[in-house]
Amino acid sequence: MNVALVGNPNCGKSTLFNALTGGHARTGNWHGVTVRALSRPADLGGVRAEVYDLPGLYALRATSPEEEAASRAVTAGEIGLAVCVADALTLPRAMPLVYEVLRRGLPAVLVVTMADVLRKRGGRCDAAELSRRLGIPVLCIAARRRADIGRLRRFLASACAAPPRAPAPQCAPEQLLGGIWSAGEQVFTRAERLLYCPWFAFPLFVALFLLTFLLAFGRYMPGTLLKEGMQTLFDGAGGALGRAAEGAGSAVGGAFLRALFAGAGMLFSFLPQLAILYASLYLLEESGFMSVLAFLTDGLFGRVGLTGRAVFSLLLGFGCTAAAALTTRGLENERVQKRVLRMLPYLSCSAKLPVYLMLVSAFFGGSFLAVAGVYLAGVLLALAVAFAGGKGGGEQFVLEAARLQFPAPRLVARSLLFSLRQFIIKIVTVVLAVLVALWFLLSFSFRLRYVGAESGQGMLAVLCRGLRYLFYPMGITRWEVALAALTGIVAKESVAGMLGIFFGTDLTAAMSAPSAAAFLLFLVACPPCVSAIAAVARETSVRYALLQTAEQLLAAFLLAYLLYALLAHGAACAAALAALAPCAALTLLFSRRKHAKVHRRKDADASGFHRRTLCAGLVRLRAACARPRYPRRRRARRGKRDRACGGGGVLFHHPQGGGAPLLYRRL
Amino acid sequence: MFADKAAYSRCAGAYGRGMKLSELTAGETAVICAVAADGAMRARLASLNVAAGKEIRVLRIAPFGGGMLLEAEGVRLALRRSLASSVAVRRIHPTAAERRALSSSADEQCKFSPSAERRTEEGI
Repeated sequence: MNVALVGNPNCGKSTLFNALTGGHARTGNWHGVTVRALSRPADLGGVRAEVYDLPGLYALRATSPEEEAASRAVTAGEIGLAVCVADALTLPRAMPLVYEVLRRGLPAVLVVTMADVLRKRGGRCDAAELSRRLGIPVLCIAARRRADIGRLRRFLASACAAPPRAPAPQCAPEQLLGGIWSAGEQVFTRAERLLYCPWFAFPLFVALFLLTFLLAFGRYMPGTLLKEGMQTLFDGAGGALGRAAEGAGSAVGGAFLRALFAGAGMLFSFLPQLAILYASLYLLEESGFMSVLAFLTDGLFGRVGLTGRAVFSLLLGFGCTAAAALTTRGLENERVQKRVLRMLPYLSCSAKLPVYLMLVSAFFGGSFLAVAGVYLAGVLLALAVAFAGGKGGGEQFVLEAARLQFPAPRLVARSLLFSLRQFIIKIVTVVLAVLVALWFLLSFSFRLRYVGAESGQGMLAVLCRGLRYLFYPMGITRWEVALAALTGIVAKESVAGMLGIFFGTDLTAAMSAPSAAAFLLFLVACPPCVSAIAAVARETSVRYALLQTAEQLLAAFLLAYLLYALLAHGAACAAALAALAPCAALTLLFSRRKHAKVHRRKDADASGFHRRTLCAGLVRLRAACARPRYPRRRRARRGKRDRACGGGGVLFHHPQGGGAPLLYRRL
Repeated sequence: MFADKAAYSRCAGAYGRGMKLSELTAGETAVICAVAADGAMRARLASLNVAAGKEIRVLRIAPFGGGMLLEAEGVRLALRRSLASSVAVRRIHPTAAERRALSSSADEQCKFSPSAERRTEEGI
């Protein structure tokens, strides 16, 4: 039997889905978390059922792609039981959708969530009377309570056994709830007032950002201490196993085990830091603070053709670019979506973290400010990309603001454990497979004889020699680094893994500090991994995804070359750039919109350049003040001219100027 | 400009005090007269309680020319200001008695009976 969860956005469908099926659908306290239908088998008190989690809907007449998918699923007629989910706080708004489902003749039940919050507010909801008026079973629950999930399971089991059908009631939705539901008192509390104040919310966000980084990367902070512990553990294990293998007489096996543990152990040691990063992301998602940020940043994003809703996808980009790319479907229109997809790769995903940390700890003393700086560079690049994309596209921004709440520790811990498990699985399967394959290709020559990874005689080493020339302008001459960067296309973790295999944790043999900075910038700007590119292709088209990747690759190389040139040959390069910058700026100003070059209001001083162009549309400059232009000089000149041509000239008038004299000319 | 001309003139033209939602300041309450948006957006706004006859309150206005945080009969939503300017409203002076009267009879808001209208206008 197919059971589908249907309801308004952010009413708790995915939370119920996870509770019923034990699945790991993404949850969050904002509207539009789920963008595609998910399904999973569940055991509803002895009844086997396939539970479908659908994206949130306001009405069956859909307005956006993800709603279309949901409404198609409802109308297709494959659903055995429609579980209408409604938020108790906004029950009247959920009723039209319930009516539509009933009108389709689908067997349906109604589950009202957040009953505890409603009670706390002093509201009430009479489930028995509502059930009598609607003609279908109704259950009020609080999805966070385990006992209520048990009740829901039994409730659904009995509904599956005898699917209840009822015609839609004749009365209007407002009258239906008359006397059986009250919203209680909803006030704009002091905490909300504070959080929605920009002078508090933005500093709070920056403080949270820095706190996360301090906890994860600061010296003597939990993240770093745990990481060192893990590292020692894996090093010890690798060394012992390697010795054991060598003792057993297999030199190749010993080298293999050592290389394996060096690569994988280094990746596993980042687990604590990743956990801290993910935890803060999930706390942000569950608390509803993202919704506040969406509201507050909408004005800024509006200037680059985005909407506040983009905050959700962009913040998720710090976790996983591929997952974030899939959430862009909930954005307003295609232009906004494409713009966000172009920005996403520059927001460093968690997989890039290991290699950042490796480089930063080897060259920049491992300070957490350096890591924060790398992340900030990515954010600035993303903004630059959005800005270069021009304006327009995101005019229509409507977003229901999520209710602020304390994140449930159990839900956050569950999501956190799941994503850490995913990380470990990815390392053990994909990344390790890549590392093993590469180790084999590196250590064996074309005649399949073992030559050792460091000898440079392996198959891959011979093939990859050509690649290193791409990295020469960054001051990197080792082909190993080029190879490591190349493996990043499969999974970003393997860049760090490969560097670990070749150089251990001491990277000074591979590059100098300026090259390391350039390489970091290259990694920030380089295209994401294959799965993210596939996600972009799924959202747009294969051609678009490939083009975007090529563009990013080119830009990443150029940026890295530029940074290295600046750092290594600072003075000369800075001078050249300083000479070039005004030229570039002038070209830009003159090439765009020629008619806007000179701008002057009537009788006012010319401002030289069009003010909008000058300030790049970011700041609203004061309008040119109406001040007579050079009155004294004009008077003097007029006198001279009158004397020269014997007085009396012919005035030419501008046809549209309203009689203003254009120029004097004696005929 | 307004698609629903009749509704707009009913509240704006007849009494001359109609204004755009975007012109309200934080803390003010108003009754929506008409929504000038195309079909899909209109439906979306209506599902968020932004439709003719509903009461709406401005909670906050975002910085940098962003949106407004509104509360429309239990639904809290953020709206870009350009979109808010296509919603015609009548400001009601939120004295306690008037607010109680409004919440008790939802129908009266839609009807705009002239006497009630004038009373709220003059703030009596």
